[in-house]
Amino acid sequence: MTEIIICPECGAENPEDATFCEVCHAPLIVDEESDLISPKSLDQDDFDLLNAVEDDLPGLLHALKQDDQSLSSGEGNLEEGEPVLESDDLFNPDEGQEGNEIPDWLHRIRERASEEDDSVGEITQKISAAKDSLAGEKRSSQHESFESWIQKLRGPIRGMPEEKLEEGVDDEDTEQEPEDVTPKEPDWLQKIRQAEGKISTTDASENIGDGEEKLLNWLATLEEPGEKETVDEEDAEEEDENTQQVETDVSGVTQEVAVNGEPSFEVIPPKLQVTPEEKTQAEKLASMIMDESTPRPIRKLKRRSPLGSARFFFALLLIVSLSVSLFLGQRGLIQTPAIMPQTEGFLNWAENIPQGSSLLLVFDYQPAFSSEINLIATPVLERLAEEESKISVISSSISGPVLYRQLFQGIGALEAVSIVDLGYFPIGAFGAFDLGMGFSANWVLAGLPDSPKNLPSGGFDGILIFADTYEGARAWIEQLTILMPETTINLLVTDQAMPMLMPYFDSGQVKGMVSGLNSGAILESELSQSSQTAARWWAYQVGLILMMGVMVIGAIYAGYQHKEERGEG
Amino acid sequence: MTFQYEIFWIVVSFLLTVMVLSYLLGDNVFFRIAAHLFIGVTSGYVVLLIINEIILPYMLNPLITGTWIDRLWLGIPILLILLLIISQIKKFTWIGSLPLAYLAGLAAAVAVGGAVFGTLIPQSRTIIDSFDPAIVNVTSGQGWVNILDAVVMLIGVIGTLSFFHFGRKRNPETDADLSKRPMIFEGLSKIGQVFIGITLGAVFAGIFSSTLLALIDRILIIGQFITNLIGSV
Repeated sequence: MTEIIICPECGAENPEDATFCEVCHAPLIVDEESDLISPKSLDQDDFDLLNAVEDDLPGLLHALKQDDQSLSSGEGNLEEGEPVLESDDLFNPDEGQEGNEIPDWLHRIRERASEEDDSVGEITQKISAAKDSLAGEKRSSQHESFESWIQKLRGPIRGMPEEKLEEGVDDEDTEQEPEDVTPKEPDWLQKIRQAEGKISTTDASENIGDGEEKLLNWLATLEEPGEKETVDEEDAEEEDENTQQVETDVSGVTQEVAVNGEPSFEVIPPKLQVTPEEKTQAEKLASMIMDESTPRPIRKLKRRSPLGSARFFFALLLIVSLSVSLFLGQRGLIQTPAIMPQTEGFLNWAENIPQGSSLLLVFDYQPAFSSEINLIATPVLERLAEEESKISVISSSISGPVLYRQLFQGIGALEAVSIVDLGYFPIGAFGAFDLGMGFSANWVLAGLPDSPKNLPSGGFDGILIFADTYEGARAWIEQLTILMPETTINLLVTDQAMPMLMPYFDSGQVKGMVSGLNSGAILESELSQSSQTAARWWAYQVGLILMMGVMVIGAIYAGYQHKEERGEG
Repeated sequence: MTFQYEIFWIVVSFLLTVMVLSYLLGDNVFFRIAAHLFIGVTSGYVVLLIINEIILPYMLNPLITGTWIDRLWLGIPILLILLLIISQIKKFTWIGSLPLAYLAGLAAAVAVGGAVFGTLIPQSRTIIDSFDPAIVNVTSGQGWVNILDAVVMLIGVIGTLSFFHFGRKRNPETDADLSKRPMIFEGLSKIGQVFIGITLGAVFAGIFSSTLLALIDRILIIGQFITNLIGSV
């Protein structure tokens, strides 16, 4: 790490071997070790803070000031003529000399500076670091130099005549001030000066020499951004007339203005800085507002769709046709439907039910589908009653306990057949899991209460699942095929559940499956002598043909309507 | 007395059926009365069902007639029930997370176990077994049909899975259109669409068949009621 020398005048960093400041050309008085500021001699935090100050000092001050503006509205600004404050006292919150005249935000800065090492206290550290570098036998004179350094912070405005500066600068300072002050300055100093541009240079020049009071004034003037302060009232009155050139800058810094042929300075209020992203967002917002304000295209009210009347007409036609075919049409089957593999599998199982077999009937369907289930269940239950099967019933639909009674009552076997009600399970999968675990679990928790279900000791010879939905049947199939893999499972389901359950038949998890009127007709012809399907057969065929016609008409109408809309479009 | 009782319920069922069918004319007060009636009856029935089928046999009876060990075991579900009830108080909502976590974990375990071992593995094995030469040639002269059946099934499975593949391209720099999936998935998903369409068509046909049978049953009941009414007169 190389050592550096901080200029007592401008605070610029200079190489170790420099005798004059590279920025302000002030003599670098190297006095003992105190002026040599080694990085090692400084705390690392101090360096970080100093660097941070260089990068962010103006923004930090603005942020604090704006924060204060939201809190304090009636605080007065600093007035001129206040007592000069020592730099260390500058941020002393206990200083009572300012009274109410010092803004609250400045008080807060001071408080933070006294309590914390970071935030605005960085300024103090900067000042302290500079002061420490000047400690020594010339401490008093260096203190004055420090005051001049503070003034330098306000510094010579670029292009400002040297005489202007000299008028407000103490003699000692002017003696040390080289005449050819160049604008070459460190970045952090430029930033401070850029922020300083919010006050008029004339004001600054008038107050140059007030030492740290100037810093207070400068900070106080930050309280009202954009407030234009002029050199004096007379100049301000003549400003509009005599201004020949005003170079505006978005940063709002002090600009050179020719007043009455003499160069002067004024503060140009900062322009609004708009980033490209903000501009894009603003344009989008504007276009949105434009869109909302523009009159919307008037849409033609569609004439009332004739579908409502057509729907009613077709429903009435369907009901009348079904009624006619039910009560006046031919009864009986033209021919027995073809036997599907799943129906064949079910028939093979049903025809070979051993006498006195133990069967489990699972009820998982709603009353709305009881007519369809009854068609296929009645021949099977009659067969079971003939074989004196021992039947256990379990339900996973709320209507199950009622429906199984209705079903057995319909065939007159409610009293004749031995039926054990295993109860109702709100969730089918849980019921199946509980039932399966009752047979397959090899472990039992000690002292666990016995289930109130009266399960057969030898298990079931077969399971019949009555279901109206795919989901209900699947829950039982999944659990029972895992927990009771040796037990034969057959399905009696509705037509709407059948397509999605076919894979379980293809995989062999289900032995057989029957559904709908066709299967009912086959079961009737093979297992019993009932004629429920025959009474409905013709009506069912008429209903199918009619609905197919309706679908064809609907498709044609939809195509026509689509074409019409495209034509309109 | 029995005859009057049956007549009463036949009349009620006839009226309710007509009220529901009146929806063909649009939403009306009769349809609403029937709907509200069904909802109310169902609610009351469910309450009684739960009490009779679950609370009494599984909780109250063991508490009254069971041994001390039975009662201790029942302490677990009773505690969970109490926690659920307490969680209805705003201040103690967090207490309900324990029984709900227990229920969710149990349901997930049962459902996932069933789905994997009861559906996924058996169905996958079926697809694989369909290419087993022993199964394909089980019927002499039908071998090519079995092979065709297996191939169609495999294409359907892959196509359907591809249709539900929502992955994106791994190299967006080289592919211009990011909205499209890889070409192979696009092609297979088109095939899968055909299979899905056929499946949904079969489901729709099944739904229509079931509802048609339900409608026929209702018309039959109404017709029989009117016939009996005219005959009795």
